[in-house]
Amino acid sequence: MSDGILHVDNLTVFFRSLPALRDVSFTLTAPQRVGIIGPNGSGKSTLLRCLAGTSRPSSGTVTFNGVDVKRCRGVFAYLPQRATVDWEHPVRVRDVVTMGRYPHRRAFTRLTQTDHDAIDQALQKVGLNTLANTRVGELSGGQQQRMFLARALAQQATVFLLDEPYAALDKTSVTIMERELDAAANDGALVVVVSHDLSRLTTRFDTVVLLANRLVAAGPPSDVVSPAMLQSVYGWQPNEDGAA
Amino acid sequence: MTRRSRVRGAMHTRLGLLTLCAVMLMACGSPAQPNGNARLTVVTSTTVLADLARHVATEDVTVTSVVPYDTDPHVYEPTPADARLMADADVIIANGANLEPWFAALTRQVNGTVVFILETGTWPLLYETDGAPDPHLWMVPRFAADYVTVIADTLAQADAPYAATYRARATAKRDLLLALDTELAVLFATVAPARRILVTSHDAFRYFGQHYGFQVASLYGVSTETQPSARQVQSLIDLLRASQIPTIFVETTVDQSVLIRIARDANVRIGTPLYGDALGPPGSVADSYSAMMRHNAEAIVDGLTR
Amino acid sequence: MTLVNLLIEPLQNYGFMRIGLLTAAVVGVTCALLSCLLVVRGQALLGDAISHAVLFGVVVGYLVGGTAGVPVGALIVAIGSGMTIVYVTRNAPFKADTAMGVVFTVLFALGLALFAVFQPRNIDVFHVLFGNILGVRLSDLWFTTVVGVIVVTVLIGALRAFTFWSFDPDGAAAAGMRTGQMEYLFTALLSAAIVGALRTVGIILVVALLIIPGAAASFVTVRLASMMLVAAVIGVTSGVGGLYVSYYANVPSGAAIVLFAGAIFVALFVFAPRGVLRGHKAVLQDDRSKL
Repeated sequence: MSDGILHVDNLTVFFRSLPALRDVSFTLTAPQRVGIIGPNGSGKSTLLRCLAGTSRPSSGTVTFNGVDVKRCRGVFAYLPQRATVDWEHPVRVRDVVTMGRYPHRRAFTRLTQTDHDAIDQALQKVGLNTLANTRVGELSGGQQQRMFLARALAQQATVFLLDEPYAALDKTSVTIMERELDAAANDGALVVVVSHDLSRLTTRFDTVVLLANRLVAAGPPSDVVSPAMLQSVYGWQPNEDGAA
Repeated sequence: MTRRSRVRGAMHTRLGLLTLCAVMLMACGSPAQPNGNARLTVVTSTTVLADLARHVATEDVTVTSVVPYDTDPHVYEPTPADARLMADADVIIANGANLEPWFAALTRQVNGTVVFILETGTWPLLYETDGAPDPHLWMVPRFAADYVTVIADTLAQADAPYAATYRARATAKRDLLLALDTELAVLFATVAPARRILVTSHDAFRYFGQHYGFQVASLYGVSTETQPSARQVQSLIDLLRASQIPTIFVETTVDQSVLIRIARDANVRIGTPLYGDALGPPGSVADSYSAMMRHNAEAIVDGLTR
Repeated sequence: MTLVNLLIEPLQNYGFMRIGLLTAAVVGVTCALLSCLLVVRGQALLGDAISHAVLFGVVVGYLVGGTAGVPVGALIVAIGSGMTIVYVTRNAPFKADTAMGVVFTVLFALGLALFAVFQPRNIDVFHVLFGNILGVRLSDLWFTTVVGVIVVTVLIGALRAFTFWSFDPDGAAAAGMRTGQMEYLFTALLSAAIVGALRTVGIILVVALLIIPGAAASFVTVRLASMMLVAAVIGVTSGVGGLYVSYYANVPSGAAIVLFAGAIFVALFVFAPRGVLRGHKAVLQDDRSKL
C-alpha cells in the first residue's frame, strides 16, 4: 500500500437549504488513524459520505492523490451504518467478503488464487472463518461489522471509512475491530472513524477532526481535545474517560 | 358520410369542430354530417346492416355504421362520438343475439326507434353448448332478405309517410337477394363433396355452411372474445390433416397469425381473406353485401377446388 | 400412453407446439434470471410498470414502421420508460413507486388513445395484452432468442457488480463502482427481456414471470447464484409445462403458463427446505419495501 493524500477542499453540503457542512477543508495522509468527532447533527456522517464519494457535495472537492474520489476504484472501503444495508439479501458471509475483490476484477474473469487467499486471510483475521457460510441476516451486530471489516481487508483498501462502527457492539467484536484497524494503519492504510465516543481519543487516533457543521479543528488529539475546545462545541467539559 | 372517413380526418375535424361547435351542433346535431339536412337519420351497428338499410332507405336518409369497415364488431370499443351519433339518430338497427354485446348499453339514453333484428320474431338460430346463440345469420342471402323486411318495417314505423316507399324498395331488394342465394348455390355445386369443408378464423359461417352444404370448423368459436388453447389448435390441425381440403381461410376482421401457423403445420394454403362481420371500404372487393358474398364465394370455390 | 409419449407426441406432430415450447423456454429462462434480482431488490413491480408502457411503443412502432416497426417501437419505449423512471427517482423528489405509477399509466393510456384514433389494422390489442404464443412466427422466435441471449450474457457478466450494488449500494459506490450506470443497465436489461416476452404471455402477465420464479427459488436456496439456477429451471418448466397443460386441458396458453408457475410457487412455499413446513422463516419480508 502506497502513501496517499486525502484532500478536502472547501466542502459545502446543503440538505434542503440547511448547511450540513460549510467550507470544510483539511488534508489527511496515509498511514494514520483519524477520528471525526462532533455533537449530533454536526455533519460527521455527511462528511464521511463525501469522502466515500457516495454523496455529492453542493460545492467543493474531495480528492485522493489528486483524483476525484468518485473515480477511485478499489481505494475506499466504506462501512455503512448498518441500517442502510439489505439484510434479507441471499448472501453468505463469504460472499460479502468476496465483494471486496470485485473492484479488482474485470467482468467475466474468474477469481484467482490471490483473490481466494485474500478472502480467507481476511475472514481469519476477524475470526469469522467458521461462520463463512452463514446467511448475513443470521449474524449478530458485532459479527456483521467484522464481516464488513473483512471485506475491506480483502479489498486491500487504502482508505477505511467507518461510521460509528462500535455502536452497541459486544466486547469481543470491539477488540477484534480495533486490533485489525490498528494493524491496517500500520500496514499503510488511512483509517477514518466517525465516533461519538470521546474516551481515549489520544490513544486511539493520530489525528482528530472536530466538526460543528464547519471545521472547528483538525490535528493531534492533544490539541483538538482541549477542555476549552470541547466546551465551545459540546457545551460541557468531559473528564478523562469521556463522561460529562 | 361514413365513420371511416371521419376517423381519417379526425385530427382536422376536431380542430375545426372546436371553433364551429356551438353553431354546428344546433344546425346539424351530429358531427358526421357537414350539411345536416337529412330527413331521417339511421344508425346501424355494422357496415353489413348499413348496406342493407341503404338499399331500403331513400337518398335523403343518412345511414351510418358505428363499427367501421374491416373492424371486428365482437370486441369493438365504442367512443363518446358513437354515443352522440346514436343519441341523435331517428332509427337504430343492430343485429342482436350477442354480436355486439356493448351496443345495448348505448341504446339506453336514445330517443329514436331501436331494433335488434334477431330479437324480433323467431329465427332459426343455432346455439352453442353453453346456450349462447350464433348471431351470423346474415351470412345466408335468404336470411339477409328477411333482415331487409324487418328493416323496412322499422323504417316504416318511424317514418310513416314514406312507409310504402320503404316496403317497395325492400321487396325489390329481397328479390335480388333471393336471386343471389341461388346464384351462389350454383357456384358451389362445382366443389366436390370431399372438399366441402370450410375452415375459417371464427364461426361466422355456420349458417352459411348449413345452407350451402359445407362442414365448418374454426379456431375462435362463435365470438372472437376468447383465447384459443393449444388443444383447439391441435384439433384443427388434425382435422385438416385427415381431410383433403387444400385451403383454409383467414378473415379480414380477425388476427391471422395462429391460422398461418396452423396452415404451415397442416400443409395447406391460406386462401383469399373472407369478409364476414364487416364490409370493406368503398372501392374494395366487398363494399356491399352482394359484393361481399360474391367475393367470398369465389374465394371459397377457388380455394377448395385446387 | 406413457409419460414420455405424452410429452413427445405433441412435439412430433405439431410445429406450433415445437416453436411455442422453444419460445416459452427462452422467455422462461430470461425472465427468471431477472426475477431473482427484482425480488431480492424489492423491485418486482418495476416490470409491471415497464410492460404497461410497452403498449404505447407497440402502437407507435406500428404506425411508423408497420409490422416490422412493432418490436423496435416496443424496445425503444420500454427502455426509454425504464430510464425515465430511474432518472426521475434519482434526481427528483419522487419515490420510485410514484415515478413508476405516473410513467406507466400515462404511456399505457396514450397507447390506448392512439389505438382508438388511428385504428391500426394489424394490431390486436388483446394479443398484445395477453400474448399469442400459438401464433409465434420464426422471426419472433429469433428476435426473442437474440434478445434473451444478450440479456442473459450481460446479466451474468455484470452479476458481481449487480450483487454488490444490490446488497450495499453505498459500499459499492465507495469502492468506485458506477452505481448510477448499473441502475440504468439493469433497467435496460429488464426492458429488453419484457419486449422479448411479449409474444408468450403478453404485457399483463409478463410480470408473473418476472416475480414468481425468483420468489419460488428463494424457498429453496440462500445464495444468489443457486437461486438464479433454480429460478431458471422454474421458468422453463412453467413455460413448457403451461403449454402442455394448455394442450391437454384446453386452457388458454398464457394463463396456463402463469398458473403452472403459481402452482410451483405454492408447492415450494410449503415443501421446500426454506419453506413453511420445514419451519424456516421465508426470505420474503414485507416490512422493508424498497419499491
